[in-house]
Amino acid sequence: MKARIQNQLSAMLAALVITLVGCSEPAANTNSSAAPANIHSLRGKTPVTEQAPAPALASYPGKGTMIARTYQHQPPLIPHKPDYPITMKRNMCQNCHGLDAKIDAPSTHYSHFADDSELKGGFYFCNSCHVAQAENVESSSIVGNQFHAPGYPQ
Amino acid sequence: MSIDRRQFIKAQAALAAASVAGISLPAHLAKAAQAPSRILWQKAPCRFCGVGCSVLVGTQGNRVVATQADPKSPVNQGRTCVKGYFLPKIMYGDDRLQQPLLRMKDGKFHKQGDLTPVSWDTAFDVMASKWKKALKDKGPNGVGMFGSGQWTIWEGYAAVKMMKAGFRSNNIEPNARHCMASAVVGFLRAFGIDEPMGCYDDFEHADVFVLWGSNAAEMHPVLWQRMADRKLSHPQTEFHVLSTFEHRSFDMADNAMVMKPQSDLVILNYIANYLIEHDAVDQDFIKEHCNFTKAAEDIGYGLRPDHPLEKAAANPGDGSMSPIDFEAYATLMSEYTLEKAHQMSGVPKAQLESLAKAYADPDTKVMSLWCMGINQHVRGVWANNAIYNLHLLTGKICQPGNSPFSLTGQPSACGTAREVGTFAHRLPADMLVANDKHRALAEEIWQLPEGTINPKPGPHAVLQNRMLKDGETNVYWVQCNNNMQAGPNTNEEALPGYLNPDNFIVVSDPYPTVTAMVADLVLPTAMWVEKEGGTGNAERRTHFWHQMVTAPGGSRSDLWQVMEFCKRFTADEVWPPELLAKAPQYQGKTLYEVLFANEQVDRFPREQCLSPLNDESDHFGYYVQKGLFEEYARFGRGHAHDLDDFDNYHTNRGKRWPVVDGKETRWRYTNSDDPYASAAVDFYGKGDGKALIIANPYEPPVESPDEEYDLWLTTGRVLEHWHTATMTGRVPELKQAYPNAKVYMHANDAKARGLTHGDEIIVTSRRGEVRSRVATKGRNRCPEGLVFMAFFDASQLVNKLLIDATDPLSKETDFKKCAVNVRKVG
Repeated sequence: MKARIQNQLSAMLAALVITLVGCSEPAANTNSSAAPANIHSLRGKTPVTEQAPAPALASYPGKGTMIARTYQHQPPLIPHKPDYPITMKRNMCQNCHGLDAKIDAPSTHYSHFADDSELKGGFYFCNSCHVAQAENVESSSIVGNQFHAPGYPQ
Repeated sequence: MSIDRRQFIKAQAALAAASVAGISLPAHLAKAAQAPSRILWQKAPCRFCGVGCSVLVGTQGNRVVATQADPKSPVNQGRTCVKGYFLPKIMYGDDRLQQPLLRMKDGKFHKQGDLTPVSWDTAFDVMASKWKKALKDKGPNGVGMFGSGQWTIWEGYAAVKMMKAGFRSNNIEPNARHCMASAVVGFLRAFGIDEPMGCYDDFEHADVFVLWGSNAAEMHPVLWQRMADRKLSHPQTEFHVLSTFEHRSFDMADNAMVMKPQSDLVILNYIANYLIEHDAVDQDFIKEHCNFTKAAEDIGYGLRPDHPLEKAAANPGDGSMSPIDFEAYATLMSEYTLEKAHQMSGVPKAQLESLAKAYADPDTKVMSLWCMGINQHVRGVWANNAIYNLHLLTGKICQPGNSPFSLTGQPSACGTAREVGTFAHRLPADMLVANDKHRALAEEIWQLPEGTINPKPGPHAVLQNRMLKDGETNVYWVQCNNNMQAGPNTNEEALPGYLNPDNFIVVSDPYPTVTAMVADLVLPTAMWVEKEGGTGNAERRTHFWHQMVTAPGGSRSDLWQVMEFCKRFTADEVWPPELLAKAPQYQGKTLYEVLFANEQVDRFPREQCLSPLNDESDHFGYYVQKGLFEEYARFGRGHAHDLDDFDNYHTNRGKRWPVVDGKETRWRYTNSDDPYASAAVDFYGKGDGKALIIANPYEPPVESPDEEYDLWLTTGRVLEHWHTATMTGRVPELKQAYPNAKVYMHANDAKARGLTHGDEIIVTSRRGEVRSRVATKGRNRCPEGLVFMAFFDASQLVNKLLIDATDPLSKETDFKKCAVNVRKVG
C-alpha cells in the first residue's frame, strides 16, 4: 500500500512542485535560455501541408482472450473482431454472450437484462459501449497514458 | 470529508516537495498524505457531446481513478456511450502541456522560431504587447477570439465580456458556428427564440422517429439507446431514417432511405405538398398560431464576394422574408410532387409516401431529429425551417412526443455558445449587438458607460480565417477547439492566416493539437474536472460540476487565463477618452477591475464554494464562478431564459430553462408547462404569439461531381472519437478501437478505379489532397458516387478538401458536400 502510494506520488512529483511554485501567482522567471519543447501533435512531425503514408486499415483478431478492466465500471473491451450485426430482428452478440449461449464466453452483465431475461432496450445496442481493439496499430502512434487505478492493471 | 480532502491534497503536494528537498514532513501531514483509500464519487456532465449525460467521477487523492454512468441522471439513466465510459483517462495523456510555449529564436519571440517554454508572465507580456499594437493599428476587429461550445458557461461569459466590453470588439466566435448556427437562425426565424420547444422526455412519448440525416447511433448514442428502448417496449414505433449513405442508425430503420445530397430540401417540400394535397393540414392550428412567409431566393454560398458564384447570385446573403398567405404557400409547394422528389432524391416513391403519411396521420406523434446533416448545409437554415413547417402545418409541436428536435454537437453549444452568446453578433439571452435596447441593457448590467459596446457585428468564423489571411485581424486567441483540423479549406483559407508574418496566434489547450503546433504561443490549459464548470445541453438543461483534482504543472483554466490577461490592460489604453469621460471612475483601472472586480462578480466569498478545490476562486479571492453566473443570469431572468439559483445546480442533475420559482420547463410555448405561455399554444417569441411557416425553394449545392472530380465527399464523426480526437485519441483503448480515418466507398466505385478494400489512396479536390485507405465494407455502406471520411484523424486532414462555402444566412460551413476524385497510390 505504502509503496503504491509512493509510486503514485513520485509520478506526480514534477507536476506538484510546479503547482506549488505557481500556487498563488504564476512563476515570473523568464527562462529565455530554455531549450525548445520537443512536442508534436497526433499528426507526428508531418507538416499540415503534407501527407504521410496512410497506415494499413485496422485489423481485429478473429478470436481473443478477455482483456482485464483497468478501472472500476469500465465496460469490457471486445477481444475479437466486432462485426456482428445488431438489428431489431437479432442481436448477434447475444449468440455467444446471452443468457442461453452454449459457448464458453463471458455472459452479459446482469444489469443489462430486464426481469423477463430480455436485454433492456437501453442496452440493446452493445456497440454503443463495447469496442474491439485493433491488433496492427503502430505502437509509436499511441500516446502513453498515465492513468492508473489502484488495484487494477495499468 | 471536505476539509480532510483539501488537507490531503495539500499534504500530498507538500510531501512531494519535501521529498525533492530531502526533508521530512511533520507526522500529521505525512499521515494525511497517505490517508483516503476509498473512492470519492462526485457528479459531472460528460466532457463530450451535446447530449449532456451525467457521470459520477471517482477520485482518490488528486487523481481521477474511475467514472461511472450516473444512475440518478434523467438524461442518461445510468448509461453512457463508450467515450463517456473512458472519461477517466482523458486527462492523463503523456503529452499534457504544462508550461506556456512561445515561438522563439535567440531568446526572443520569432515567428520562425521553435516553441520554447516561458513563464506565464512572459507569455502574457508578449501577448499583451501584440494585442495593444493590433488594437492601435487595426481597431476592434484587429483582435479576434475563437472559442467553442466546450467553454464552460462562465468561461464563455468572461471571454465575451473581455472582447465586447473590454476591447469593444465583436470579433469573437465559437466553433459552434460550424455546428449549430443554422439551427439557431432556423429557430429565430420561425419562433423568435433559440433552442428546442421539446425535450428528451419526448423520446418516451413519440410513435414515429424521423432521422433527417442524423446518425444518432454513433453521434448521440445515449439518445439512440432511449430510442431503442422506446422501440423495443412499443413495437408499433416506426423509424424513418434518411441519409446520403447507410450507417449504423439504419440498423433500427423500418423505412431506410438513401437520398442524393441536397435533395432533403425537395423531400421536405414534397411532404408539405402531400399534407396540403391530402387535407392533412390542421387548419385551425395554422389560422390561430402561424403566419406564412416566403424566403428571398438565389442567395449565394457565403464565399468571398469576388467568387463567380457570389457574383452570379441575385441576392447574396439576403435573409429577408415577404409575407404570403396559405394559398400562396400551397402554390409554391405544389411543384414538389412525388415524382419530382423521387427523381431528385433517388428514394423510391413508396418510401417517400410512407414518410409523408407519418407526418399526415393526426393520431401519430412524430419526433423529427437532426444534427449536422441539416445544419452543415449551404441551405441549412431553409432545411431547419422546412422541418418546422411540417410540424406547424400539422400542429404536431409543443406536445409530449410531437417534437421537432434539433440535436446538438458540443457539451455547451447551447449553454455557452448560444445562451451566453459568444457569437460575433450576439449578447447573452438571445440579445443582439445591433439592437440599441439590447446594448443598453448589457451596458447597464455590466456597469459600462453608454456606447461601450460596438453596434456592428464582428466577422463570423469563416470570415475570421479570411481576415487573418488578409491581415485585417492580426492577433487571434483560440480556446478549447482545434480549428486547423476542424475548420474548412485548410490550405487556402485557414493555414495562411496563421502563418501570415503580421499575425500572432495564441492557442490554449491541454494537449498539442494540430492548431497548437502552428501557433506562436501555446498556453497549457486545465480541463474538465480540473476546474469548476457549468454546461447547457440540447434540451435546455443547465448543469454543473465542482473541481475535483488540480491541473498538472503550470496549466490554468481558460477562465483564469482570460481574467488574468485582462489585468494587462487599463481602460485608458483600450477606450477612447470620450468614452472614459463618461465613466471617470474607470480612469487608470485595469480591465480586470472594470469587468470582474466590479462589486458584482466579486461579491460572493470563496467559502460559499462547497468544494475544497477551486483554483480560480483561491487565486482571485472570491467565488469567481458564482459571481460570473449570477451576473450573467440577470440577462435572462424575466425574459423567458430564467436560470435557477447558482447553488442549486451543484446539488441537482440540472434543470431545463426557463426555470421559474425553482420549477423547470419541459415543453415550451404551452401553458401546461411553460410559465411564459398564456395559452395551450402560445408562440410568444415573436410578440404576436405566432410562429412562421416559411416557404423555401430548392437550390443546388455549391459544387457537384463532374468529369474531373467525379465523387461526392461527405465528412463526419465516429462513435469512438470526440471531434478531432484531442482527448479520445490519447485514450489507448479508443485509439485502438478506431485508429485511423478511412474512405468508405461502394465496391463498384472501387472496382472501377482498380481498388480493393484496404488499398492506399489519394483523395483530391480542387483545394487539396489527402492520403487514406479505401474501405468497401464496415459500419458504413455508401451508394455509388459518394464517399464518406471522418475528420477525427490528425494524420489525415480531410478538411483540406472542403470548400469554405456556408449557408449565407447562418454562415455555417457545408462539411457534407464537395466534389473529389480518388486514385490509388503508386
